[in-house]
Amino acid sequence: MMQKAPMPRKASGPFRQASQAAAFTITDEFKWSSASTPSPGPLFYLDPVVQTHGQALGSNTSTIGDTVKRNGSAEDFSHAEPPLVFPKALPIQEDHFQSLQSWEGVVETATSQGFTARLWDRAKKSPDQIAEFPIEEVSTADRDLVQPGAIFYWDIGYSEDKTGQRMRASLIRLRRLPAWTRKEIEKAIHDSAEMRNKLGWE
Amino acid sequence: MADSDIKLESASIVFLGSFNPKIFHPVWFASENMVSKQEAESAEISFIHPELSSFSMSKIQYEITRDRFVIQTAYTPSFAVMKDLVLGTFGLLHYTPVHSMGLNHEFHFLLDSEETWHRFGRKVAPKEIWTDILEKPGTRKLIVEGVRTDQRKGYVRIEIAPSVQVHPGVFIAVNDHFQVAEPESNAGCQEMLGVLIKEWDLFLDSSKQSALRLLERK
Amino acid sequence: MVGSSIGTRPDQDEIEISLFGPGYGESLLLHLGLDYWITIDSCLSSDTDEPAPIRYLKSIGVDPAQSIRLVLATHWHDDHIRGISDIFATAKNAKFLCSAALRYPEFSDLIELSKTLMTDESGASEFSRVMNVLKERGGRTRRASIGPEFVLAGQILDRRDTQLHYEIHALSPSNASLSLAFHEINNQVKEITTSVPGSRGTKKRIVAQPPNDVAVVLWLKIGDTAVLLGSDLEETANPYTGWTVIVDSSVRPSGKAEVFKVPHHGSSTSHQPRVWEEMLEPHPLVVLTPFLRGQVLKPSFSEVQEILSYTPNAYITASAKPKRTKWTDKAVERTIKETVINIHEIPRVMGQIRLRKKHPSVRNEEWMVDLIGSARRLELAHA
Repeated sequence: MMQKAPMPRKASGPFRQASQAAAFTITDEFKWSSASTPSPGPLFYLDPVVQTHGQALGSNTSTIGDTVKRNGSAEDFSHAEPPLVFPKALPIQEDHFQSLQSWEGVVETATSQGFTARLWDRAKKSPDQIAEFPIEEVSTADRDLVQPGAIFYWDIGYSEDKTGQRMRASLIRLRRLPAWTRKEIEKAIHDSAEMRNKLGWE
Repeated sequence: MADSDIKLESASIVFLGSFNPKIFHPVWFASENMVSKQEAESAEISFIHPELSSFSMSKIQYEITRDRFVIQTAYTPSFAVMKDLVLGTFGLLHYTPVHSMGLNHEFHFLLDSEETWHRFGRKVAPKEIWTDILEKPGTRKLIVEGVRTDQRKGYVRIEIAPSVQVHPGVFIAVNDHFQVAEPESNAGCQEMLGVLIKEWDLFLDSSKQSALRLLERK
Repeated sequence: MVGSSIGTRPDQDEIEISLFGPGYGESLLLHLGLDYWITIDSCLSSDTDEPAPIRYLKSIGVDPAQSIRLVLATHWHDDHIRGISDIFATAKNAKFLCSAALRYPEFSDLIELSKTLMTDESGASEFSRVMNVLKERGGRTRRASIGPEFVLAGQILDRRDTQLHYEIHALSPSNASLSLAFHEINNQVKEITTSVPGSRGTKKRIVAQPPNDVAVVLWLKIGDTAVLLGSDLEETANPYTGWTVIVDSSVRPSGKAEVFKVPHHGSSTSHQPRVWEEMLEPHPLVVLTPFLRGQVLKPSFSEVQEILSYTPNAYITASAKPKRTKWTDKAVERTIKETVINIHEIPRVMGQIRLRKKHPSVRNEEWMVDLIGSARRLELAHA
């Protein structure tokens, strides 16, 4: 029986603080200090879009050339004036997955009932495996992709939703790369002829 | 510190260059078989606009402006899928002008006590030199940058901050920044895809190891 | 048959035949005297990126860069050529040979198409890298054809007529099997090139499809003895392909082999009794590798008994019994059990069967057999 794991203590404060200017005062800032009890601060955001153009509010390190997906942090809301009106912020990811084991696999044989595959540990901590799967383990949208040579990912771990509900999970996801384009095919055939010519391939 | 101390983890891939946001639509991704039709139909769309596209599909968020393509997720099984989406997208749009790529990996670690939390904060940014300059000095955010060791253009940055998500916790973000060797050529996109293929898995592992090692030094 | 010291290289007048496997695949390494080495196929143990023949040669003090003179890919199945491009890149003095069934332009089209897969783990991508090495080397020669050299039944691939004589004969592929191979390769190319983008599927790894019609079977004549290396060739109902056509061939060398590398992991699909009766000495020395893929386990217990009914001198590079990994995390163990029909690990430890003896022109003696790593007698294959 799966048990709910104990939740870590979260910083206090409302989930979305953009409209609560009162929360963004110096005393509410969340920082390490020589004080023994730090004060809580605003919560973690995925950065609203407007902050990706030029400097983020309060930030003194970001530049247009930055490739950091900039995170909201306490300093962004540390100014006395109210924050700009942001477009709707990207939703915080509420499902957390604690991965216990992760493989990449290649399908070797496939039928309508299932498939065999070679698996290699993405963390390189365990030996390669050969496994046989029933097709039901693959989502219906992906089943057409299960063919010899198809690559997939298999993750085992615990999935936890925003309420803390925990569930042991096995996720198989087929790798999707767009099919060969006309241009790719033409280039491959051209390069193939060139290669054979260069090698004197009889 | 161990993997089990990671309470939240996210990753993103950022391309800088010149993009046309309005072509990036869930329907387009499904038409190219990069996502299933069902995933596209259940996408949550915020904007599809010539200046900005913003939507999420299957726990992955997409945000594209004229000069930035960002794809991000906090769902670890989707890290590899995210890489494939970038490979697929820019494999098709290989003519897109791209001059930089950033790989980002972020963690919120839960520490065992506030004392440990303070001790780490003092270690990464000693407070002694601030004592008669600021009252109650505290670290808001620390960013340290290092040079690349792989002969490529770019840098590596690590940001450390108190976590605003878990307490007592530390937020660590690793940014691996790559720049195209010859920005004036139009091969930047292909070059960055080649780097992504080689580096993504290594980056995810090495950035986690860097974060864990930093915390070992608390 | 007393074994020799494991870490020593063979004498200049000694013949050596080493079979490596499984890891992922199998490969053969031959010493034909005078520091002249040949590799056939390739395999990697799953804990290292170094091909087994290279690793072994270094361990016995042989420089693979100088000493490997011929690299042969008997077919293009993933499990037989992983790492072959590394072997060829290392072996600066070697020729590269492969089955004539791969001569068709469609195969080189497949090689080029595999480059767009953004992954480099397939038989096609191994060939792609071999071609790159050939192109680089080709710039330094004036030969009209840089390679590869294509092998067809009836050809003599290599020989030494003076001291320490040997000849290497190709017994397959036959002309009929070339047509079948072309058909398979052409189908794969058509599947890619004639479908409408976006309307179906996604890119996937390009893999060789069974049955194996292209495999190169070799007859090695050493003085007045012979060795039969069966590759992966299977027997078929088609009288123009498979083992029957080899047994009935009027151009195959006469004589009987005293060593037999059993084809296709001892599977009954590759068994042709006439090979044992007409091409092999009584009680030959037999070597093979296992093949473990889900519920397909070769050689099965009955297949082992079949081989042992012909000879007691049989060896296998590793156990044919699948091994399950013990997962330390119980949640992982439980989930795997609930998800898969079956699972077993690909062994990390490479097994090697090494046979050595003096060239028959020097001394008539029996083969010395060394069993290294997981290698064992065939009767222990399922122990």
